[in-house]
Amino acid sequence: MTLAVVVGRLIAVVALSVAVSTAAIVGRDRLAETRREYRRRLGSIAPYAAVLCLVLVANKIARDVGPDASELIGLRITPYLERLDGVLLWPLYPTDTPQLVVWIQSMATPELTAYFAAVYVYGYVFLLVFPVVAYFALPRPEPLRRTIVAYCANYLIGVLCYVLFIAYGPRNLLIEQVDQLLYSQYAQYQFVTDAVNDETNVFPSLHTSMSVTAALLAWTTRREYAAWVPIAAVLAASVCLSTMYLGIHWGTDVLFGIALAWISVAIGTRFEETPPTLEGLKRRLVRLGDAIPTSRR
Amino acid sequence: MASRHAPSRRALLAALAGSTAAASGCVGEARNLVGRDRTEQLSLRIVTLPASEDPYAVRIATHLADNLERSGIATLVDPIRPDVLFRETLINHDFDLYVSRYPSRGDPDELRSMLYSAYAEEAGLQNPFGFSDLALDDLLDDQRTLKGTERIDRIHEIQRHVLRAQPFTVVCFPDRIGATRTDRFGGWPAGGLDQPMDYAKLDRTGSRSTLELVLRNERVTMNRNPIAAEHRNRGSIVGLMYDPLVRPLRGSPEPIDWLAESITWGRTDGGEALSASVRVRETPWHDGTPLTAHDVAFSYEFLRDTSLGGFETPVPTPWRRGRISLVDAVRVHNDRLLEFDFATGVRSVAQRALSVPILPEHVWRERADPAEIAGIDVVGQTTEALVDANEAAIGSGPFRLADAVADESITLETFPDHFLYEEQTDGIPDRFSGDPPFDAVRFTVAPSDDTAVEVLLNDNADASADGLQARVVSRIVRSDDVSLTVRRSDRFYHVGYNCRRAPTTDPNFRRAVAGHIDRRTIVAESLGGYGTPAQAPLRGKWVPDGLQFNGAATIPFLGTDGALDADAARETFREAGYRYEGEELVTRAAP
Repeated sequence: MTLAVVVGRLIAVVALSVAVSTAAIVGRDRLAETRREYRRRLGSIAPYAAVLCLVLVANKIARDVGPDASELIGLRITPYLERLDGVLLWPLYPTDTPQLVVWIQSMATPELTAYFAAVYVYGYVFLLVFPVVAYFALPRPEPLRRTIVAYCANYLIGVLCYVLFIAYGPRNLLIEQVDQLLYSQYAQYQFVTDAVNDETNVFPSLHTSMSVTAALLAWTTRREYAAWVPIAAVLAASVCLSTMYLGIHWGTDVLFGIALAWISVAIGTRFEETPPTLEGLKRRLVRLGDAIPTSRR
Repeated sequence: MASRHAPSRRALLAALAGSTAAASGCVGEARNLVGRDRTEQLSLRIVTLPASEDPYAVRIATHLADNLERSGIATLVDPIRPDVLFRETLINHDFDLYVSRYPSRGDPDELRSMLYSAYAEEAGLQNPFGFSDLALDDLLDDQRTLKGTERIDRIHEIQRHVLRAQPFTVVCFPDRIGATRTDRFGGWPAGGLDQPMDYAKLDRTGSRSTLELVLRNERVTMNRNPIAAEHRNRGSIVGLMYDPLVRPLRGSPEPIDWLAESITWGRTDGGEALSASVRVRETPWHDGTPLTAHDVAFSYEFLRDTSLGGFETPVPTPWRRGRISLVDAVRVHNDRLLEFDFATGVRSVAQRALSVPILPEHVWRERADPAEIAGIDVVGQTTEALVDANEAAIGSGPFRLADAVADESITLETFPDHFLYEEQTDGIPDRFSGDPPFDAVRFTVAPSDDTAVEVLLNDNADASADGLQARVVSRIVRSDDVSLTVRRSDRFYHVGYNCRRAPTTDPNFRRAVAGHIDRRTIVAESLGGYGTPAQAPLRGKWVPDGLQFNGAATIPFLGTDGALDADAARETFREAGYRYEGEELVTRAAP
């Protein structure tokens, strides 16, 4: 009921903004070309798209099963994240260092809350979806492939971390100081976030890593889409801030999210420069086999 | 092999050291010094629920942790999801301190379950602190044999004892905050639906025959085991599906005969203790099998030892352990009639034993086998019964399971063959008998209190099934359609200490920690005023005048107006024999 309404609105808003920005940034010429060439382009990215679909399905399953699995093998790190966050502002406040999230929330205004809530929900999805559309409209397949590989890497590494580390966000621990701004003021969004994710999946912040990934990739296509670079940068920065402003993630989650984005883009780029071949995989497996010490007598 | 050589090597080293030491006295002194363990800062971990499950508990835990930190103890707050938290604390006994609510019903005999020494090593809600005190044990046994003012006096004495030893520190009684809509159903009890009997008292004011409730505690959508302590709060929803012999009624000293058609009280042969012959009503289980006195006798035998004698040591139920201990023997006369011997001579105490859920023998007998899955410390002391999710939930209650989707919803429907609807209602007050006010009740999980209120405001539910937190009160009050209802609750917040491990083995340490809790500030700020500060676990006549919280506790807060006086707090620890190095409270490092 409520979930369907909220998801419906999300899809409508994102579809509209992708349509508008496609018209503005991608331009009519590229779209016309895409219309002629879409079969060939689909063919050239098909294996990548298939892998992404697999990863997304695996990701969904892992997130459903993950919390139970991670209760068995995972480490509970919430108190340490809280400690680490408590020293992040040390350079600014050497005495009485405030918690980063508390410090950010101390600047809250209703307008900022509305902005960050919208960015967290709509801006984030738009930031991830638009590059896929925009890069599909490019004649060369590399940007889109790179994007897909980087998205996959984010999910795979992120979900692995979620299984290994059990952590609650600041809203679940520091509630005396941290307001659950998103959920107390826009409770309807919680139906979506709760359906998508378990609340112990906070380290690292996938919102951050995916957004920063999109922004870093925007830089690699600055020749084609110059206008997208500043938009992506501002959106990504806003998403990072929003996760903390809304009390969902620790500053540490965000820092590791940025690192994860960097790694994911590096993987995506490397994949593109040296495309994986069956031969290469074999060679690597053999090398791996050699590296394992075995007793031969 | 190595171990056999070790002694000789050690002897050689000792001889060497000895001869060197003899050569120089100075070395002897050095060895004396180095041989001593180093000290390190004392660190504690407070486990509790995350704010999404219990915001008050987290606040109490962080309040305590901040204050202990000011006293030089490194204190971490670790939020853990409910089933894991309860497994770690109640079953594995692996914690330093915890903050939680005790599922109390305000009955003084509960103190025996909480603190009886013999329960210290058992897994379950019974004595989670591992506290043992022989003098207190005698008092706890004694109160079961006394009546009237004598019993009240003894309960007072027990609480003075408990407050002195502080195996746990009571913080406050929160109010139960409910939100209800009256356009389809009326007759909501104060504070919202809680006990199973509350459901029967509703009346239908609209045309809809399904009662829609929002559920905050989703565990029942996955686990419906009536004895799994880590999955039950108070078992209200499971209580709709499982009938006890008698059902307690809020605000009434006498429970009503439920599955028991009649109870005839007597005395055991030549003894002081009570006995009762119980006639069981004719009613079927949800799968159609008739319920008999054998099922009842089986339930008591099974809850006493869920391995049914299969293990060397009995594996008792982790929940309602104290009640089961009130029954000495059960004899079945025939399919309808059985007789109980009680361990008490006081009827109001014995009646507690009759309010445990009755389980179908044909389902549960096979669950006496050892459980072979992980999750619980497998020490061979776990039966299938304790870990089974009991998804089918075959009970005999007025409602049976219709449908459940894990993490989303659970629907119960009226069980038409139940004795209530078959006109077998002798001894049951009229307001509980007759057609139920609804044909089905659907509980839909809401991820937070805010969303629960949102669902109510959007007219997608009739009431909240669980209590809500103070933060949403303003939203409820602002609405014209949803009404707020508040009641004082018996389920108190407390800090539990693990009396099995240092430093919380030391009562002086526990008392010093208790001085770091400012109850008035907690209730005013963290509970938004919706609660009552308290230091005793019981209420009303059961609490002696001196132990009522009147602004100051017998172990007073070491500070004023929420601010800890760190010097005074450190002095308290010093007086208790603890040592400071600089700002840090230090203990001998673990080897």
